Amino acid sequence: MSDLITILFTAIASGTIILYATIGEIITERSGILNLGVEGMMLMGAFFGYFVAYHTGNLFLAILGAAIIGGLMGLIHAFMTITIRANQVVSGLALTMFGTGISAFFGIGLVGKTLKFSIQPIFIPILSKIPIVGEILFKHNILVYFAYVLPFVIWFIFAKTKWGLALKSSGEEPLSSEIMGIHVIKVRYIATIVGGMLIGISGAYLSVAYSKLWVEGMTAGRGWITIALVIFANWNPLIAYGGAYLFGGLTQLGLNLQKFNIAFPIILLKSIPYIFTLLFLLFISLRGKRSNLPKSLGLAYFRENRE
Amino acid sequence: MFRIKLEQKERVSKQQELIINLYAIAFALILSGIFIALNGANPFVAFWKILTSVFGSRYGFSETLVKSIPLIFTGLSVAIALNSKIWNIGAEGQLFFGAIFATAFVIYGPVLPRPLMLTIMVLLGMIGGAVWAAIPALLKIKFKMNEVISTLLLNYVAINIADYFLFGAWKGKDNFPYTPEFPLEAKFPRLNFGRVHFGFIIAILLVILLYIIIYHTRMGYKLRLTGSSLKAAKYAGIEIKKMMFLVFLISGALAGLAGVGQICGIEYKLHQHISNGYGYTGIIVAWLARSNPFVIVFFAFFLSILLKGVDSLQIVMHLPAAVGVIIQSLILFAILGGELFKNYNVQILRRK
Repeated sequence: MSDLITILFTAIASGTIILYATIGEIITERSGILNLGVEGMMLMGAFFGYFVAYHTGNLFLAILGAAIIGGLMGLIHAFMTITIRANQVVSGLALTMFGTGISAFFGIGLVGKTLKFSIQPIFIPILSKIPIVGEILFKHNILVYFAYVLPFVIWFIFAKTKWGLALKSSGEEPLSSEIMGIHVIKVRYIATIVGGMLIGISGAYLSVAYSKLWVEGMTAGRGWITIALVIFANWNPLIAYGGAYLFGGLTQLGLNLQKFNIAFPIILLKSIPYIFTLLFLLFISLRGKRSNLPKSLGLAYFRENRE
Repeated sequence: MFRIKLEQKERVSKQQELIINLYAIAFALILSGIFIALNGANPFVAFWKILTSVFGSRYGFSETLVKSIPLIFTGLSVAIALNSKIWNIGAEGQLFFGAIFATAFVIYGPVLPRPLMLTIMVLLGMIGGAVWAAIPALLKIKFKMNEVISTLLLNYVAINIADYFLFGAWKGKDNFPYTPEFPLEAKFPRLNFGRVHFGFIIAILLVILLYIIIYHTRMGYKLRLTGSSLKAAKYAGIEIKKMMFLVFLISGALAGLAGVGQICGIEYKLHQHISNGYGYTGIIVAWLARSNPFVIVFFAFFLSILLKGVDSLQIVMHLPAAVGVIIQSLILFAILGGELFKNYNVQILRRK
């Protein structure tokens, strides 16, 4: 039993990494911009967050720094794809290479350095006393709690506010949106930058709070898993919520199969997140439900055509 | 305030495109130079070192050619798929799978006369790569799954599978994760020029063959038509699904060959580092070359100069290996930026 609680506890902790990034990517994609640079942006956030945390010992500054660096990466992608109208796939790949390279380059000095502080878990009064559920859900650090709230906030913005409407319509029908008075280019810029900030934060959470170390390439494909999770979540922040933790759980289960005496080659267990992601995607395609896929996702927008 | 006005125009000619690309590369190299300078190294010295490390000696030049062999294969692999508008980001995994298949024959099969043994290994490598590419192919064709994500995720799985053998059944006697060295029969002959091996000849032959297939056969016509317009292809009576599947298989087989070239031509064993990110760099090669096989050879060599050059920068100027990836990404960004001048008339207007 206690094994299972530990697994579920870590499932929440590791699901939080991809939850931040998934929400960020959903915001970006809903505006019509496909960002395949998540892996690189996450690495930049992980590196820079750790860098700031190491030198200042301040968690808040570390998260802020990672958000800024993620936002800057988003700005690059926005400029390439919105202003220059470059191919969104290639720009994303370039961004991933750029982030991988830059973070490895500047991160060399941080390898093997441990942080002088550690993020203390906050036991939520009363709630953390609930048997099992309290153990699993309410003995985490502040960043995990923030991630509990974030998807609801974004869902609310999507569903109930003018901003959300502007964002969604930019991704569906940019030309008509423009006629309705929405500044599509501005909306897409903001969505790509805000998305990048959240992806940056996910990286910082990974290095500063979850792993408590910096290693070159430490995201290990989580950025790509994020992109798959967005599809799994059908571009809906509330489903992303469940998806990310489910995914974290499956990953942890994979890593813990040995404990349950299930014979399976240990090395192949590392493949489980990737295989699950593929199965997820397969499941979505088989389900064949109406998709929220933004109609103009990945297409360049020509404001000039409006006249 | 200024504002940039863009007018769509007919896409520029191939020649102009090449010129714009060269400008873009020059621009990227200047940016890289600034980056190097910011890190306290003299960029002129660095670029000079890159050039001399490649062209300054027979050894340097042959080593650069050696690096270009897998890049030609992976470049062709990505390009043939891109010709049909399929993004194969999985050349890295297919490279490993090809290498795994070919290695399996060395480990479990008999030692045969060299030409026969090598032929079998080449074929197995191609099959291995094709098998690994068949998975995203089926997922795309049967379930409409985006191949960018599926091919990429499968890279991680393929490398895990290689690890599974390397840390298990195929582990060397000293317990390190690499196979025992291959017998002579499983080694490509060398071409009497450094470590340049027989794989180079296969690569060049394939370039010619693919050029003929793509531009001078019915099959190539179908390929290109499928790539340019699915509707047109349908009207022309092309079985698109079959075509796509075939393209995936060929693409995977080509990437598998890169793996065989590495283990039979250079490393003489399977280990974790047979690929230096060649599957990913192949994407850049194919994209830069606009999928033309001959231009692929040129850009494969160009990127090898960078790879080889950065290797020596590491040794001579103590710049980390990551510089290579950074320069590659800057080149990609610059070429992407150059797209602007290929598709639009750019006017800078003063805003009233």
